[in-house]
Amino acid sequence: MNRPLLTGGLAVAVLGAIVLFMLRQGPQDYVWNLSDDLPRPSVPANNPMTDEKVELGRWLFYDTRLSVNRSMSCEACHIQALAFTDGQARPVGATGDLHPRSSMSLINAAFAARLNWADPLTATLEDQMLTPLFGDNPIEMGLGGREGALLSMLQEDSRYPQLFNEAFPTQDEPISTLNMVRAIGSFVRSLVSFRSPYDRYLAGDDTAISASAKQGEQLFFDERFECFHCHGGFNFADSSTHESTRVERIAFHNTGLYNIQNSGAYPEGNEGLAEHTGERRDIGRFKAPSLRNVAVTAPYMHDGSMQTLEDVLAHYARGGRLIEEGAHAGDGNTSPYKSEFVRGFEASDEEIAALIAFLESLTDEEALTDRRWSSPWTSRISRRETRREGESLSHATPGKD
Amino acid sequence: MRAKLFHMRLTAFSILILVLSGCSERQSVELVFSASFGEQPVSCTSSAPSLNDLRFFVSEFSAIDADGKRVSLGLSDDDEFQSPAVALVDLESGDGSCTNGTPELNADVTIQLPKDADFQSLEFSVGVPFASNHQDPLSAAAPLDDSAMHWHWRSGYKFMRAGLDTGEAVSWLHLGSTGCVGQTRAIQSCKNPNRVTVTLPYQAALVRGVDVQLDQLFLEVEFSADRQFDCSSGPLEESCLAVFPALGLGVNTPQAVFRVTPE
Repeated sequence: MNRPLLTGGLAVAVLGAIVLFMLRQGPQDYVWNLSDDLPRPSVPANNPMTDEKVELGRWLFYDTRLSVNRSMSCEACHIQALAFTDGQARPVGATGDLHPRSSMSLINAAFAARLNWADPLTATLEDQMLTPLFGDNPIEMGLGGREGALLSMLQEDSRYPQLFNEAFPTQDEPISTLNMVRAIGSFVRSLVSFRSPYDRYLAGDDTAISASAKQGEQLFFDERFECFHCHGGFNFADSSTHESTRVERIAFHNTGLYNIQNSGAYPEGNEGLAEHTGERRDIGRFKAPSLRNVAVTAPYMHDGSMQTLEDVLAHYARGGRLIEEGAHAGDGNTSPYKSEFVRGFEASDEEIAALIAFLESLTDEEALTDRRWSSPWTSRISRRETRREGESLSHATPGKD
Repeated sequence: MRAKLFHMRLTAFSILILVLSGCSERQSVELVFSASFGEQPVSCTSSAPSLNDLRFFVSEFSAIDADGKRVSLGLSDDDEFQSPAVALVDLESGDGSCTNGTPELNADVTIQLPKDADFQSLEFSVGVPFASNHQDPLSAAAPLDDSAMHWHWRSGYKFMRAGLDTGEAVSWLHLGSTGCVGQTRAIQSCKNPNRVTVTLPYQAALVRGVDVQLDQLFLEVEFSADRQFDCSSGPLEESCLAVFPALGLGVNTPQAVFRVTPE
């Protein structure tokens, strides 16, 4: 063998490898909007976070062309000022279907071990959004069977081709439903914030919350009230997870909200975990969502059947809701499926006011107004582009290609 | 010495080829699927009752001979309605009373049937095999890439979407696995697989295809003007008790909906 040629060839190969390594299109480390003492959310290995994906996801999140008749974007049920809920008991989909359950807050949803109200299976934001995008019972965004028209819209748009290229630089044809979902997932995952008055109090600012709220904090973490049992931890929720979580804790609870005809039954079509497991003991079991920003996410419970925080606390004080008349009549207090933590408690008016003051101190005003999370459509570009003549997905031929 | 070894190898190789070709001698056979209601063909545009929807997956085909021996049958891959593992039958044309449908139609399923074999019956599943049922639908190959057939809420596929429009109300069934444990895309098992086993008398030359008798499916359903019937396979959903037995689900009797269409 020719020695000089071999050595030269090896050198070229090594140099080439170094150059390729330096040119590799890997994601830079994403910088979370979180102080160092806070955990980072889990991120699926197949969808690492990048600023470009988050930005593309933001445009998509607020784009009404992601519904079958262009009547709504994700924002319709997830309004930033309301902590990405919608102020309704139950939302209505693009074609008029009433959803059985209430819109859930997206702030810090990145830390939820399970998404949805009573779903033991859906663990990631990317999986969760397939239901509102493509589901048909109820129809929410109404894109089921309409991927072809959706992709045409994205490809022909003046902005998306470049945004998709920036978000997925290693792919030749980045515009796909899969990448669209991954981008929206990245945007929603980026909605993390712990900037409430209570967080400032925890960080050492003694003036951040009122004396009443401080008393409320004590009561919240008290065995008499048991709030922390289900709404505990850094996110005031059950079933939280982050990148260092080793043992997943997923829990669902029946709080005695219904007990139809004292048989334990919940309204049909809204039976909670039992709709998945088929086990009667799972009737009425729902996830305990985060109480962060709870003061702006009324009405409450999985079906929005409680109007105010006072109503909620009265429900827990009684140890279950009494419905005296109508189709749902029954006493939740005696439900055979009720959680052992919902035993009821005695509390003075002052104590109730303190608990509410504490809950209000969890409102993160900065998150509700953070411009980086707002719609890019209104700030720079006119809405002309989303209202192009005759370009509704419902008019386009539905189909796979 | 080398010549002798070469001849031995050649002989062994030839025998192998002959044996293999004998075993893999298959022919493509088309099964034509159709839908009927009370002995009449039914479509999205027929007079009431008409279709509101009829799309379902078929898989796990096998043929059984007179001795009871079972042979697995593959599906040909057309990159649209069939993969080797599963085929999508689509009998709704998206017009008429099929309000949430698509214009694409697929009535033919092509199976790979061994030649010169004496089969007595054909068996298949209505559904997606477990191994394919819980993957990411956005990365799935056809026909599992259809978002209308994916059941995100139950992290699997809708094995069957069947709906009838009586002119006054719509009755529909969405069939899929329930009681699954694990997490989406890492499902361990499902307590109620809800795959329908269809066993039909079969001889290739005498059978044209398979007919879906919707009157049999909804036999126990009371059609009424003011009440829409629906079953979403919910494990506690009482309405499903009216249609599951017709599919052989939850009972010891075989399905009564699918039957052979003679040539």
